[in-house]
Amino acid sequence: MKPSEEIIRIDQVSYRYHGRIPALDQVSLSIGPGAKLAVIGSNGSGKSTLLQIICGLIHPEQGTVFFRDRPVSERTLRDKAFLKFFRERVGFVFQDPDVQLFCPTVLDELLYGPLQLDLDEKEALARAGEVMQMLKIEELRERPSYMLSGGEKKKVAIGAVLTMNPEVLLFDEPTNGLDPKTQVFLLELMLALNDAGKTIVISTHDLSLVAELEAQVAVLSEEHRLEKTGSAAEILTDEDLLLKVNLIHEHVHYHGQTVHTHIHSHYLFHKH
Amino acid sequence: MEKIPSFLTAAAPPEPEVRGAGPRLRTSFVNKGMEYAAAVLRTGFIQWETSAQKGFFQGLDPRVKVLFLVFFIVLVSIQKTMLSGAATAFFLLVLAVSSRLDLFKHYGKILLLTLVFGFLMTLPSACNVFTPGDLLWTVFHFEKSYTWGPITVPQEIGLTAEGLRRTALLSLRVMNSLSISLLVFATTPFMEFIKALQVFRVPDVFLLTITLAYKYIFIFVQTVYDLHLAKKSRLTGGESHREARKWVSGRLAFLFRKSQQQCEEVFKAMTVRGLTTTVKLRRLPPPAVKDGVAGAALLLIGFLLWLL
Repeated sequence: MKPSEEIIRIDQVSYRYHGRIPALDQVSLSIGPGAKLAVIGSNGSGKSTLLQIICGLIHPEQGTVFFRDRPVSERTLRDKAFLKFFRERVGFVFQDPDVQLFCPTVLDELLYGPLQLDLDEKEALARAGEVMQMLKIEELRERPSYMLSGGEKKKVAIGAVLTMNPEVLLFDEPTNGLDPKTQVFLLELMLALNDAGKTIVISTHDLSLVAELEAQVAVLSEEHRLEKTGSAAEILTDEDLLLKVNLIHEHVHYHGQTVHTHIHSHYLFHKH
Repeated sequence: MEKIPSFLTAAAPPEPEVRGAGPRLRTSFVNKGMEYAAAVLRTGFIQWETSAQKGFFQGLDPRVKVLFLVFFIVLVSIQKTMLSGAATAFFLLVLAVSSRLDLFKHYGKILLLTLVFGFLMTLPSACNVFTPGDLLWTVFHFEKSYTWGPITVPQEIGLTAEGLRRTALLSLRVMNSLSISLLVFATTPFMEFIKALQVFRVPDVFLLTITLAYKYIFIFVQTVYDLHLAKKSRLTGGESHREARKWVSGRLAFLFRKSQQQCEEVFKAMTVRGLTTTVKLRRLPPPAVKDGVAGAALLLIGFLLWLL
C-alpha cells in the first residue's frame, strides 16, 4: 500500500507494560481508508494495546504510528490543533463501557463529543437524536449510565463516539459479554458504518465475528509479533496458523470406546 | 438496522495545516495524578518481580524473614556503638548483594530517607543547647549567655563533638532499619509476607482483610487509569481546572458505587465458598531445614553484631 493510500501506518512498533512486560514486538501494519481490519490473537497477545497505541492513548517505546502521514506521539498530541484534528477523526469504543461513560445522562454522554468539537448545541442535539434513533436507545435519553444493562451501555458508548463522526472507529473486543441479539445488532452496525465510508478496526478472538465482517485480518502471536496478515477467508482456513497462535485447539473426546482427537474451535472447525 | 444518519456520511472537515507550531497543551493536575497512578502499578509490579528473582533472601521461608525483620529492628534500636552500627550496615549490604537487588535504587531510597528522617531531623540535637560537649563549629555568637528559669542559652551556640556522634549513631540506626525493612519487602511477595504474620498469631480474618485491601488498591488504580484513557480518547483540546474537577468528582461517585458493588460481589463469592463467621486460611508448611539453618545463622550474626 502506498503512503497516500494509508489512513493509518504502524511502523516497527514495540511496547512493554511498566517497561518490562512485553505487549508488542516490532509490529508494522497499514490500514487504508474505508478498510475493515480485525486484529486477532489469543489473550494477552497485545490486541488491545495495539488499538490503544493507534488511538494515541499510550505511546510505543519504539517505532511510530502515523495518521494520514502525520506522526502520532506524546509530543504531537500536545499540539492543540493536531489533537483536535486527530481526536475528531479517530474514535475508540472500549471493551468495558463502564469506564467510557462519565456524563450524568445518556443524552449528556452523546452531546459531550460534539460540544468538545465546538459544534453549536442545536446541531449537537440533532446528531444525538439521529444516533439514538439509529441505535434504538431513544427511551434511554434521560437515564444515568449506571441504570443501563450491559448491551445498552455498549450502545451508548458507541453512540457517544459516533456523534463525533470519526473517520476511523476502533472497537476493542466489541462483542464480549453481549447477548446474541446485541452481537448481531453490533455486527450489522459495523457493516453499515463501513458501507458509509468509515474505517473499522476491531480487536477480537471471536472468529465468527471476523468471518461475518469479511475483514482483512492481522494475526498477533503469543510472542506479541505480527504473525500474518490476509483476508478473512485466507486466515480462517489456515489451521496451522490458528493452532500456532492458540485461537483453535486440539480436542480429545470419546465416541463409545473410541478416542477421537481433532481440531476444534467454536466456529470453524469440528472435523472428524 | 435503521438508516445511517446523514452527518455520518458527510466528508470529514478539511485538514488544517498542523505541523506542531500551534499552541501547546499544558499538563493538567488530572494527568499528573494519572502518572502517579501508573507509578503505583509499576512499583507493585517491580516489587513482585524483584521478589521472584533467584537470590539468597528470596529463597528463604517468609516466616524467617519476618522474624529477621523484627529481631534486627530491635537489635539496631539498642546498638550503642558506631562500630556495631557500621558492621550491621556492611552485613545488610552483603545480604542485598546476595539477594541480587539493584543496589543503586535500593540504597538511593535508603540514603534519601536517612538524610531526611535521620540526619536532618536529628541535627538540631547536636547543638550544645541540647547536648553539652566540645564545641566543633560555632553557628551563633551572643555577647553573653542568657538564662530564663531552667533554660540557659550559652554565649556561643554550635555543634558539639558529642552531639554529632549521637546524630551519626541515630542516622546509622535509621539507615539500618530502612535497609532491613526494604530488604525484606523487596524480596518477599506481599501476599507471602502477610501470610507469614501467622507466626505472631495475627487472626486470619485480619490477614484476609489486608490481602483484599492490597489487591483492591491495584484494581482501583487500574480502573482509575482506564477511566482516564477513556476520557482522553474523547478530549479534543485542553480542559479547564473546573471541568477537570467536575470529571474527578463524577468519577469518584462512580468508583464509590463500583467499590460497593465489588464488595458485595466478593462477599457473595466468599459466602458460596463456605465463609462463616470464622475465617480459616491455609497454614504455611513447616519450614525446611535450610530455612532453620539460615534463621539460626542470622540470629547468631545479629547477636555477634550486638556484642561489637
